[in-house]
Amino acid sequence: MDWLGELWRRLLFALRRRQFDRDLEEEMRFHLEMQAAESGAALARRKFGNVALLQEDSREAWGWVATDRLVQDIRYAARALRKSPGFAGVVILTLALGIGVNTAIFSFVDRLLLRPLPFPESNRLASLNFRSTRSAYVWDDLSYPDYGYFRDHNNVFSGLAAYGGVDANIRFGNQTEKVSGEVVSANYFGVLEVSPVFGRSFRAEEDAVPGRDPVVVLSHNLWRRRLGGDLGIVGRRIAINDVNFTVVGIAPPGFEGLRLDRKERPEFWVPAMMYPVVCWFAEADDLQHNWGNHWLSATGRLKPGVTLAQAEANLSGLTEQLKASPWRIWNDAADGPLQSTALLVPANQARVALGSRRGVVTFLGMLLAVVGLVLLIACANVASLTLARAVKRRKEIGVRLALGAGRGRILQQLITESLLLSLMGGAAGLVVALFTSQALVGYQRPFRMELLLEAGLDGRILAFGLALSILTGLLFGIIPLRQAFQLEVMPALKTDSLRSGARGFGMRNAFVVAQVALSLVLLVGASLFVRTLRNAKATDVTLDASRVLLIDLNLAERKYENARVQLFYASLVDRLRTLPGVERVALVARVPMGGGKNSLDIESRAGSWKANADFNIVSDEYFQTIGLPLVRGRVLNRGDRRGATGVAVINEVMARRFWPSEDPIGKQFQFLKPPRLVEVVGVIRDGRFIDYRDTVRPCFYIPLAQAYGADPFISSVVNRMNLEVRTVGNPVRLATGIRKEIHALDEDLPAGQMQTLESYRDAGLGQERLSATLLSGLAVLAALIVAIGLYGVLAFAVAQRTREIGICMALGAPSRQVLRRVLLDALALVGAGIAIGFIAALLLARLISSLLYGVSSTDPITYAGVAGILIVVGELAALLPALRASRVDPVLALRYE
Amino acid sequence: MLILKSLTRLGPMHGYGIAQHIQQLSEAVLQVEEGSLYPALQRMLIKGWIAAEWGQSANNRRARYYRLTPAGKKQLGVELSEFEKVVRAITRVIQPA
Repeated sequence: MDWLGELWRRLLFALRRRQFDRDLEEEMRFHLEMQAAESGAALARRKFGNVALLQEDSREAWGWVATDRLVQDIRYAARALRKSPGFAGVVILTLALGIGVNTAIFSFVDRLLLRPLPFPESNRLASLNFRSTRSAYVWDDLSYPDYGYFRDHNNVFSGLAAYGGVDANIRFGNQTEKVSGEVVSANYFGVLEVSPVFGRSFRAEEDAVPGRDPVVVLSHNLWRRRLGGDLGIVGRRIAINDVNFTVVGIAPPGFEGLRLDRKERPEFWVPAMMYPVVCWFAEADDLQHNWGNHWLSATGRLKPGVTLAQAEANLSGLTEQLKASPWRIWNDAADGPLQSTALLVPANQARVALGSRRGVVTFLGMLLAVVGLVLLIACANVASLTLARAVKRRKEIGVRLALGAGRGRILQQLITESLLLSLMGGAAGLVVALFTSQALVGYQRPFRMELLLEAGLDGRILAFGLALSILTGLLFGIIPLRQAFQLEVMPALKTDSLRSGARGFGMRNAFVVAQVALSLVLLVGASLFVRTLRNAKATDVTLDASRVLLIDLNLAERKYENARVQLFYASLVDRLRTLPGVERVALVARVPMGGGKNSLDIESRAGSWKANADFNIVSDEYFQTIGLPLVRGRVLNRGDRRGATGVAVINEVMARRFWPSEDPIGKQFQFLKPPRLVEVVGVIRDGRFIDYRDTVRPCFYIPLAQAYGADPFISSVVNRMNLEVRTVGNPVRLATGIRKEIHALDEDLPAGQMQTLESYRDAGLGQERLSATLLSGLAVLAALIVAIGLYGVLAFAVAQRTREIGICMALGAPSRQVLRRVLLDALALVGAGIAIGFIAALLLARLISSLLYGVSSTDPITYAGVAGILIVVGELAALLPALRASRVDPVLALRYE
Repeated sequence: MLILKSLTRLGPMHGYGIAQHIQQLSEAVLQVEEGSLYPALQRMLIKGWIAAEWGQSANNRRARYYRLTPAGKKQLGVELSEFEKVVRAITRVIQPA
């Protein structure tokens, strides 16, 4: 309680300080008078000493002096900055940019890699992964029997939970909404130690029999958004995929499960045994005995005292035993026995699938390095500006020293000024951060996969921004301090400030060189990424991709039979052909650069070779629709129907591989499963399925008309075709018409997103586009900052040397020579920066070579071009000061001062 | 300690009075510097050992009178016993054996 009273009295003092001051003054006057009455005024004053000092000492007891000084310094700094708004503006803007982009990138680093899961003791949660002992392959997907085995046989987890993502249609009133959710083991919430805010989580018996217990836990958000936060919902039913589920609980607000590599936040949770009901393609799945269907991930809570390494050893032992299990992948893969072993990772570090985490780390690391460079450039620029200011302020500081200000006090004041600037820059930087992170989220799949990204500032991010601002302030604030520290009073007062700044000059040159070097690194990075993007786009074989509309048709979800599928496709193509503005219509199973592919084992008719090849199912006119050119033979046509000879069109790689020196037309090959013989009728240019980095494998196209009802696997592919429509003119105008035709055939078919092939391809290039745009933007800005910095240094130098230049000119130096001299000075600075930058860029670019495509990280053209750009920028910045120098009037210059 | 003790003897008193009192009682051995008296008074105000209020001095001048608070009395007790301990210890050391 004592300290509380003390605090209160201190506060009271701060609030009523004027009265306290008056009291103190009067009290001391009284003391003096009393003493004067006794021993005479002069003696009394001598004995008492300096009244003001004593008052200050007494006041210091209250502990507010430091605060006082701070307030004083801030006021002084604000006044000084208001007097030079240009300087303050440039500095704040530069810093806002540097701090802002750093804060934005950090917000993603934090969310994806650093921030721990918001569950009790989340560091005791471990994610179960597996790795191959023969390759770098890492995976985390388990079948339900696998999961059951690990759950029941391990002795290191107090609980092992399983979860898998799923999308389902939930009906609210008369509306149906497609919602993402998770299928989880009954102990899921228990293992995470999360309890629903209302209702309960799952009971063990609700995850025992497939399809028996339709119970669901809803997310807090879904409950608020679609059910109006109605508490009565617990115990009532909602329809998921037309099956009634009883709502048993509402998850706590913000609960989003363990993973971030999802397209959308999970909004509902159902027991794993309900998987066949909520997942449209798992209907016939024998969940408890199908070892081949791995769709679950597992995370366990370690028993107290068990370390991660111990647990991993235990689980690896189990993996060994599993090799005797019915599932062949544990003992045998296509290319021989798969040597797999358990890999246990803290769940906090497994929020993104381990296999993809490395890519995320590389990309984020690259971005952090880039924005770090920008901040360094900004700091160098600000330090250089501050240095120039410090030189101009020598006189002011000299006067203050002469008046008795302590050097420490002056340093404190100068640092306060720097911090004030950097904090203002940081505050403006938050706006930049918000803007940048929103732009980043706007890119589709910037990390080459689905991720729950969000743009926003929270406490952690704000703290980072604040810390960064202070660090920045100290960084650029301390360097110019040396000047103030070494300042001697008398010379500072005497000499003209313009002639005494030689010392700061060398340092400013160093800053310019550093800035040029850093921005060279940025420019090299930017041009490498721009070329990567261009090369990546060039791999797309589609002609005029902006004129082709792509529509995803998911007939599997409608549970059509084979005959109906056939009828639907045929009528849809016929209907669309008649629409005005439609040039060609085609159906295709796998869109180029669509992220996935299908393959089959095939062999030659004679059995001379056996291989695995990619295949695609296409309707006739497909090649004309996307403009893939025919190399030889013919394309598919309407004659290739069911019952006619089985045909295939192959790509160039396949032709070269299997018929190296022959004409492949007319040759035959067969599928191993289901057995089927097809004849090659044409060779088409190569195309890529997964993405632009995909190596082109042997690939063949079979006509859709010959694919119906062939076998379950091919049927499942046929049920998920994409519609492609080549249009004349603006394709977006046709979207409504096409949608109408689809709904005329089946009004419940969820005709997915409609987009052009171009935007579809660009979406797949999210990372490349983001890198290219961000780096180019930042590099241009950096070059601009460098130009400003160089201009500042040269203008200052010219102003300082006016006398010298005047003397030269008076002695007969032509003004052209003066001009050349300044330009050469600039060139020397830029050249030194470029040399240093080259070395740094060569070292750094090696680290990002995995992100590049079709361009070497040491590409000489890039380096030469970038150097050229910097030289031009540098000379342009130097031109104005150089002209000014060449126009110095010798008479005026000599009379100057 | 000396200031607190003086206040118990004198009752409410102003700064000048406290200084005079200590000087007189110690027969001018202890000169109380104003330079340490007033800061000390401020510190004790913060600690809450003394309270201050304005009153009339003997010669009808406005003066700030300090008086001991209960917390101050307690503190005086603590300090006196501490002091006695030290004095006893010193005495034992310098006493001829």
